[in-house]
Amino acid sequence: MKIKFQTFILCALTSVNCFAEMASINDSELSEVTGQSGVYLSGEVSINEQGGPLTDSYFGECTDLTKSCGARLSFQTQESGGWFVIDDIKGSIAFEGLTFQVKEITSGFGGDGALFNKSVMEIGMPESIRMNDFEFTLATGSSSRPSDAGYQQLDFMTVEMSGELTLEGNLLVFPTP
Amino acid sequence: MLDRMELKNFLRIGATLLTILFSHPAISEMKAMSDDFLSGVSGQSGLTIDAQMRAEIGEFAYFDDGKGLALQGVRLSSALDQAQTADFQFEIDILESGALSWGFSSENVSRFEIEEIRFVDAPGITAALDDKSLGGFFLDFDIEGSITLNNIQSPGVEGGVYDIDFSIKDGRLGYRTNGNELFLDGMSLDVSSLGTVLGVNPAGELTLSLPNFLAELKVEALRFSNNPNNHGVTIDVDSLTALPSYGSIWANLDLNADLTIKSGGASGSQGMTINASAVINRADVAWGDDTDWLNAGAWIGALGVTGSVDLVNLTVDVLDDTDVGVNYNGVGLALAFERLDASFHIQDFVLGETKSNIDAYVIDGLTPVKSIGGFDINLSFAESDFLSNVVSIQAGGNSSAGYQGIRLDTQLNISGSANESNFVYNEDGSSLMFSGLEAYVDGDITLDVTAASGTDSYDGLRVGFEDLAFGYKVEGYRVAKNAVSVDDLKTKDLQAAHAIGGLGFSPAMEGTLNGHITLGPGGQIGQEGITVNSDLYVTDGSMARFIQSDGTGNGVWLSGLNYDVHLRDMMLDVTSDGLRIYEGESWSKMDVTDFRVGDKDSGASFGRLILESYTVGSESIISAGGAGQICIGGIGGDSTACEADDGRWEDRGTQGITIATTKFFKNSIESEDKRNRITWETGRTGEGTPTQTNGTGMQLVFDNFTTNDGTDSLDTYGFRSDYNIDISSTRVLKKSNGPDSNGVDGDKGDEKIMNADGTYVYVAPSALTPADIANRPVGIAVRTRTHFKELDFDRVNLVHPTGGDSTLLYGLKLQNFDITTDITATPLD
Repeated sequence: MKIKFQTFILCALTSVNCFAEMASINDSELSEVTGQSGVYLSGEVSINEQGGPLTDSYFGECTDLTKSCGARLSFQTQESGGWFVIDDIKGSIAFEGLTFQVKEITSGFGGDGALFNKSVMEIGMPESIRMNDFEFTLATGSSSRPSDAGYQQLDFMTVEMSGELTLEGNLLVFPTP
Repeated sequence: MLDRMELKNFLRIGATLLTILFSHPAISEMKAMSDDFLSGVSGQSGLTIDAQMRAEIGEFAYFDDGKGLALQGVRLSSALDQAQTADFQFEIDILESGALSWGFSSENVSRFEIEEIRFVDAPGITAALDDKSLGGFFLDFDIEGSITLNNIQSPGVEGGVYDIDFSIKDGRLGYRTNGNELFLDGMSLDVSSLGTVLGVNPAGELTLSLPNFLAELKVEALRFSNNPNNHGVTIDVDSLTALPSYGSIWANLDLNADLTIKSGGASGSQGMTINASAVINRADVAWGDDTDWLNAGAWIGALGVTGSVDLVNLTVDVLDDTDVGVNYNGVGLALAFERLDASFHIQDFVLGETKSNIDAYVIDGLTPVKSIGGFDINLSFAESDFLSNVVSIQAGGNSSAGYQGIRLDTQLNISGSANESNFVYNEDGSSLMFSGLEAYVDGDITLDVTAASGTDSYDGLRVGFEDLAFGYKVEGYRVAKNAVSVDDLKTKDLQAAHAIGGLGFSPAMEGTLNGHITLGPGGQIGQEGITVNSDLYVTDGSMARFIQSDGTGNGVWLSGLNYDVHLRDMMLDVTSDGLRIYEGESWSKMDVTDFRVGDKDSGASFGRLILESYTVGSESIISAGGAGQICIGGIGGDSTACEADDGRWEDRGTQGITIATTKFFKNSIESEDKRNRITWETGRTGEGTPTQTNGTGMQLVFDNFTTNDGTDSLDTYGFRSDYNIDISSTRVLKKSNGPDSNGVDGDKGDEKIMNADGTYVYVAPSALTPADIANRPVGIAVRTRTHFKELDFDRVNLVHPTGGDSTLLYGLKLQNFDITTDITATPLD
């Protein structure tokens, strides 16, 4: 039971952008790959498509237009300061053809590949991603919970995404401790 | 090799002992049958013996090359009062066929007991009270049945052909160590073995053949006592309350088996060597919780089990421990075998089913049951270059539990390099093979029945691990629809192995295990169940989260793994929903020296990870049935509505596994080293070498995360994760033009469609037929719903080894999350 949550955290950590580099693999590199031995993933990730579990003065059913039914993430960078907020996160992302495998990097990258000479995670982008009413709002708040007495929030912008996205190429994740 | 004369002498001595026991003038009585009794019997011509026996043998020892296994305090008496006799009636008759019939029946419930089992250097030496012992065993029984020695000869065997038929009722079978007992209570056993052959073959080997063995075991309760005043009783003699129970057990067995024993073991001139094989025609095994054996209570069971077991050259010797120093544990009974092949097919594994439904299913095979599907388990134990297969049974158990107990000095190796060992999960016509399973253990396992004492000992059966090196790995997964057999499945494509969400399964793991799991009686619901207390420590280990299928072993590895897990009052109950697991309190720490990509020892590292977890009152329910019918990529309750929303409708069948967990992450308790924290460390001294120093780098710390209901004072919702696990078809699209890695040609966007022989083609979407859609590739489909009201991180800190803590975030809060992921993994071609 312990391992499951820890795996979730590991997966979150390994997708940190600062360790990733998008790179297209040329034909000569591909010719050195004999067979594939990774996995092909298809599926969907949905966030609060039909609301969340919290009900209070701020959160509620999606049918209640006076309430927010999306997920919310907030963080405080200064002690006793205000809070950055990513609010009302909801929608879904469906994909087919996300691939994952471990790949040896022994050359290329302006000579850095030969110096690296180790394995990386290769995440093959799905050709097509369909976003279905995916949205979130960037804001700042006066305290950690929007249900706090006297809470004030300033919304900066709301991002909404729907439709098809085309993503090609591979994401190579280099472990560099 | 056992000389025939020796064998005959052995049998003669045994028969003489039996005769002495049963005819002892002080305790047995020859009775003439009354005229009234005989008048009701036509053709009666036998002999009836009423025997009242109370026997006690100080020591019965078996010596092998000068070292002995001694059964001490061997007694036969009444079970109710051991000062009274065990009463039997025997009827001996010659049947018309010429067969000799020996009927037997109990007149009361008898007890056969062995008080101590010790290893001795010489017979008859009085042992000191604290001399190590395996503990004691007892069997209570009320038996009725017969053994008929047929007037025929089995070809090739000099001996007899027996029809054996007996029933035991009101039985108990118990194990006692240091005043604590674990026993089967209310046991009944029905056995029929017609045509049993017992004799000597031309090679001089003792031969036992069971061509028609049938047995059914029913156990009302598996009970535990920590009161030394109790001995083989259902009701505690002091508190007058029923002893706590783990639940009920039921087993049904139909097999045929052959066994030979020859003289001479693995060491010295004495000992024995056993060869055996068995075919299981049908077996059913189940555990019931708070059951009335009809419609009340719920059961977990493996039903419709078939299989075979083949044991080659099992040697039995009494040998001294080969370990030295503190690991030396004296003489033991060494069981070593050259090879053991075991294959089992479980047709249906049921969770939360009633006994009535199980009984109906066993009879007709059609009654619907709450099944997660079936399993095939194939294990081949064979010697490797480094390990043999030997278990030495030594006396004493865990050193702090008392002088009685069992220590198993164990070395076992499962070979799977040619995929002779594997594990298969079958559901709704699809199969997932964990291919090429290899595993080993090497170290000590201890068994003690312990009583709660302080913070180190708990009520129940304590299974201890002492420097037990262990490891397992699979070469990859093989997945197929409608595979006709395990061999057919072996021909399917090998794909990468990865951790499966919800199951906690990793494709490979190894390390050294210390600690214990103590299984106590009673759950959280009702009177019965299992309570687990445990402290486990894995050190110097590694764990794979992903392994490529190319045979290189490259993958994603947690290397330099040190992992400890602590469970307090984890209670297991079977309910109509399935297996329910409640965790009173649990905490763990996983310290990974290197999170590597590539080779587990030399792959590039992301650095060190430490994951600490502390929960109170968490729950999990494992139930039958997977995701069922679902809409992926859209919203809709049926295929029409789903496709109208641009979704893809999938029917994942009625079987599968659902795991629903609720975790309550609690505030840290510094003094007890319990907390929720995630630490990532990089830039350590010696980073990139095998000798980096933990604690010398820069750390990013997500500290003290907790759950609540959106207010600090309440935490009733927790962090919930619901997993639906199925083996299911999915759509796989070609990502580029031209041949793939297997040389199969197609255009970008074409669908992969499987052929019956395991090969595949690519078909343009416009040309897809209903038959093509039915033959989409099969993969591991995991639907995960994670939802929580609030998850609070106290702080996010950056920690410098000399500069100390610097707070990056003074708070991080996640609220109102409900995330569903639906991922199907198939091979990458």
